[in-house]
Amino acid sequence: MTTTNWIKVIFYTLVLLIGLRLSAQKQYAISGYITDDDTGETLIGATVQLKGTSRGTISNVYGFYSLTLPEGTHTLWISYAGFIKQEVPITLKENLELSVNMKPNAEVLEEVLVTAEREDRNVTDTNLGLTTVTAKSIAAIPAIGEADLIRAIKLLPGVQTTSETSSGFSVRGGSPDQNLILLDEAIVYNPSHLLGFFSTFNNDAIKNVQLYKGNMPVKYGGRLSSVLDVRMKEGNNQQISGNGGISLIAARATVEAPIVKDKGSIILSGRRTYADLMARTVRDGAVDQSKLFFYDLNAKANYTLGKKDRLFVSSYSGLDVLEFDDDLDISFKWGNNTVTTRWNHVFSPRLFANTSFIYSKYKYQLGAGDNDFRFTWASTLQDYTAKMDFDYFLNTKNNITFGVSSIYHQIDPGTVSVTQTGLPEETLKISQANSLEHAIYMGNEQKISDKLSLNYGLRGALFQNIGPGVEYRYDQSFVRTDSINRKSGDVYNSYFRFDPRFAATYQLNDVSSVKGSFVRVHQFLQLASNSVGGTPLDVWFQSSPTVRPQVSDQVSVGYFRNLFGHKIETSLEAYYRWIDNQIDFKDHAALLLNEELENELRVGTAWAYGLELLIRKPTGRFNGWASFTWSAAKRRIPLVNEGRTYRSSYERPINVSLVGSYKIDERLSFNATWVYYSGLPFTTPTGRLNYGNLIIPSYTERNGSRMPNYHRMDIGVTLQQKKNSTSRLKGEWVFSLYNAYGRKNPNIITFGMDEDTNNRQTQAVQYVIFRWVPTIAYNFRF
Amino acid sequence: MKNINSIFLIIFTLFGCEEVIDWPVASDEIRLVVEGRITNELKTHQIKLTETADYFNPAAPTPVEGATVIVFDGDNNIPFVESSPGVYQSSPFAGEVGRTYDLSIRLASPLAKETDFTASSTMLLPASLDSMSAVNDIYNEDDPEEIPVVFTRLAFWGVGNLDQENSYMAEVYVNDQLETDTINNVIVFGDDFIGEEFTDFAFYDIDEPSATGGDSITLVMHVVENEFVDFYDQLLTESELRDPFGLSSPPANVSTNISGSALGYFYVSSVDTVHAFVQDDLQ
Repeated sequence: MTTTNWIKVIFYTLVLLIGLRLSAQKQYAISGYITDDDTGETLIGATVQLKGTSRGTISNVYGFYSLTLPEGTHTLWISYAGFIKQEVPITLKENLELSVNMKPNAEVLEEVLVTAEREDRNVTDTNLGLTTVTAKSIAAIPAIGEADLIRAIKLLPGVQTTSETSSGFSVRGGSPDQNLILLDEAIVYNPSHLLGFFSTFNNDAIKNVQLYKGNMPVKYGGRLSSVLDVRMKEGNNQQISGNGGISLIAARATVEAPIVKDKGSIILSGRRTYADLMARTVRDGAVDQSKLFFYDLNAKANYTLGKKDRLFVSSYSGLDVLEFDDDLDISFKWGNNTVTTRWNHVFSPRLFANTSFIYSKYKYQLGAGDNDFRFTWASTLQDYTAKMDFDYFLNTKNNITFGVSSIYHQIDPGTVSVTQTGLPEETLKISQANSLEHAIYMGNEQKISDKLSLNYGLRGALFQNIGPGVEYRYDQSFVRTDSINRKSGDVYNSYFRFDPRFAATYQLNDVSSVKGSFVRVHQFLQLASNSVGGTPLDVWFQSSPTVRPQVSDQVSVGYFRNLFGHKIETSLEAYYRWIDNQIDFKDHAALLLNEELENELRVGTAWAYGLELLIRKPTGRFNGWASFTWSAAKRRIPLVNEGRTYRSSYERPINVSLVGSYKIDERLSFNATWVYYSGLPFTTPTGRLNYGNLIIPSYTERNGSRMPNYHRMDIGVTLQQKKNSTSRLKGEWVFSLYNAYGRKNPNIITFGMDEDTNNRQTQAVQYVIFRWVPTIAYNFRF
Repeated sequence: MKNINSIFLIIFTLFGCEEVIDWPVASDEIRLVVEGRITNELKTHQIKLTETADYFNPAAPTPVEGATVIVFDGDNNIPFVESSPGVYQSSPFAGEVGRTYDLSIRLASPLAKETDFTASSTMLLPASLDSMSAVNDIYNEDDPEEIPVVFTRLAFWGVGNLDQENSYMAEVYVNDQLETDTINNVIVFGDDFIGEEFTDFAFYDIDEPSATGGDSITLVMHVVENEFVDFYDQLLTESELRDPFGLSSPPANVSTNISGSALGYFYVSSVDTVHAFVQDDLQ
């Protein structure tokens, strides 16, 4: 079907819907916010339901809900995992504003790992491939010292780690740059700290995380594989509270306080690592002089102006510093900064709007040199975004979302300067690249019957290359034919693309359903990288007259079944993805500081398919999940691998994660994870030749070999301090052991000459980083 | 820029543990490797044929014996006769500028299922060199923490070919011994030069200086086709330790101008030479 036909289909469907409404009886809307009574935090995904029926809605990402019901007397059930379910009788004669404060259920013994907001939510929800995670559940997974969001989501089916030392993750065979990572709506371009050992997300500042594995709703776009939507806490608007912790690796502290009780609050959260101090005790020499740390700071404030308006300002800033003095004196700094300002406005009980202005920056600077010679390399990527998103709760059957957004991307790929004693400074600047990415979307979540729900929509994206910049043109054999200097503000290339989305859920009975979806996404910005290790030296580049937008179509189906009265949730999902205009780098491509990077690309197709099984016990003394993934990801690109099909660098055919937590009593809990996955494909020499007295490796196939299979167990024990009735202070000790049985999982394997012998011996060398990493942490809350 | 790659490896080794491992390499199909050059010097020219080997096999490469090697210069066939195992030599002749030389090889028994291979290269105009200076110098002399390195600094003057698409490769002889005897030591550049001092080159050896005062230095400047430089750059990349973090290029076979499954390179070059005696300024 052509895109024009798609628009027609969507348009007529929407017209049809609105038409249907006219025949309905007199209806009114109940709307408001669902909040945590203790802290005033809004609750995302709380269920508001007509008692004894499946009619209902859930609160949106701002905690707002709206439910339209016929005139009369009703009883509402309002529920959220870990909170006491409320029954609210209402009489509807007109639109009703009803905000609900939920009381945390102190009696709940169990920790909820992955939240199920409603016990049958996983069966009824139309979002195939959506997982919601809370900060609390992230903290319950054993970690290397710091609870880490990205390490936690890598334990989910279909999400694979790219490398132990990388915050990059691969969703359904896609590359890490195909994940849209949002922190309070700001795009985070590099979610890595400490070269990827930790992510940029401080768990203390996180409220809620949603991960869409390719089935993203229409409000998201621009990345082919997934959306990781991270929302920061708003801060306690009831009383001053806080938490913090000290571990062998980092110290962190968070303070929350009301600005005006019930009206507004502020939260400040910071952490800093001291891994370099630790390393000094282990090694000597160069490390003595080294610095290796990161810090990050999250700050957020919100204020409620009457019943209809709420303002938020949030910001993140983080910096990594790595310095050491060996033969070369090296200094390396990188970090993200984001600022988001938002305005929530309730236009009517049914129409909720959010307007955001967002700034995001990723920057790095590398310097190396000695007394006589010094070079520095700096690069920046900046985004300026304006967007409006609307939730229109049309009636109990239809929730419409629509909105617009514009992003101005500004990429400074790199400026290198070299200073040498006695010589003038030399500077090389790679031309700036700028672009505009606009989107307009509309979608509807529609309940056709008690059994059938649909979720469909259309997103239109306009991508424009804009000067100042240099446009390069190449002929068929990749020889440059022209280079044109584009003036500031000159729009010299545009791509207009449509992303249709469709999902359906058919409920077979109370405990099982089948779901299916089709998703198309376009991507206009991508990362130049040809391996999985990841460094902070990111080079993002954009679609251009030469580089056409990458496009992915994904079809997925799933069977969802709850067992033992919703105590056990199971799901089996299958997917197939096609990617067109898939890019990869040609043989011997030069990625570093290359003005004409786009000419190093080759374009072809990619496809991936897989099966994902998840068995989950979300509640109880013992809870956890088991995830099994079988998948494949291939590419075929003319002029790469001699045109033959080869494995994607992110293909892990087998991936197993077991996550469990057992609460022995109110104070003591034990948790463990075990992961097993196939090694990633990489290219290894298969032979060697001599030329000019040098030994040169020869190869048969790109990504023809695999790293050894990876497996690891982590264990942790959490001991709560005895409760002291007079004090609000609660403390806990966390003991964890990463890689408990000390398997040597190589992070990288290199091939080269044995430098210690002169007998022309070649060798393979593996580097292993983490074996038995114990951590002790003390966390407190008040 | 390659140093950036090694920076990451250094960082990695600081915090990780490094270990030589046994890596199972599936036996690859054996392929032909060609290493041949014809210049405009009047001498016997040489084409070497060897086989590829398993990656971890430290033995010297197996020569390919009994092949028929012929170079056609547009008018005549020039036979190359096997003088020692795998080494094929011509009778003395000088290549001529403007001629295209077509190499054809027929193997006695097939490698990677092929017996016939061809390659072709054209001889371009030579550069003209005027003079050279060679001065010994010490690097790191003032830094007490570093080992001082004695090296010979070369500077030469001459004129390149401004109207011709070509690249340059310089080989250096010390007292008639080839100093740049492994290919990563030769000096390759693509830019033309003219008139005054072009640039200075240094070659050094930590244990002993390559050349001492009074030694004779000869620089042989080859003019080659640009494709040779692509080959040369890839050769260097592949011979060096690769950054595993995604910044260096994807590993792949070094490009070749030999047909079929063979690897290596056959090229012709026109040369000009310049001499100097080393001045020792170390006192």
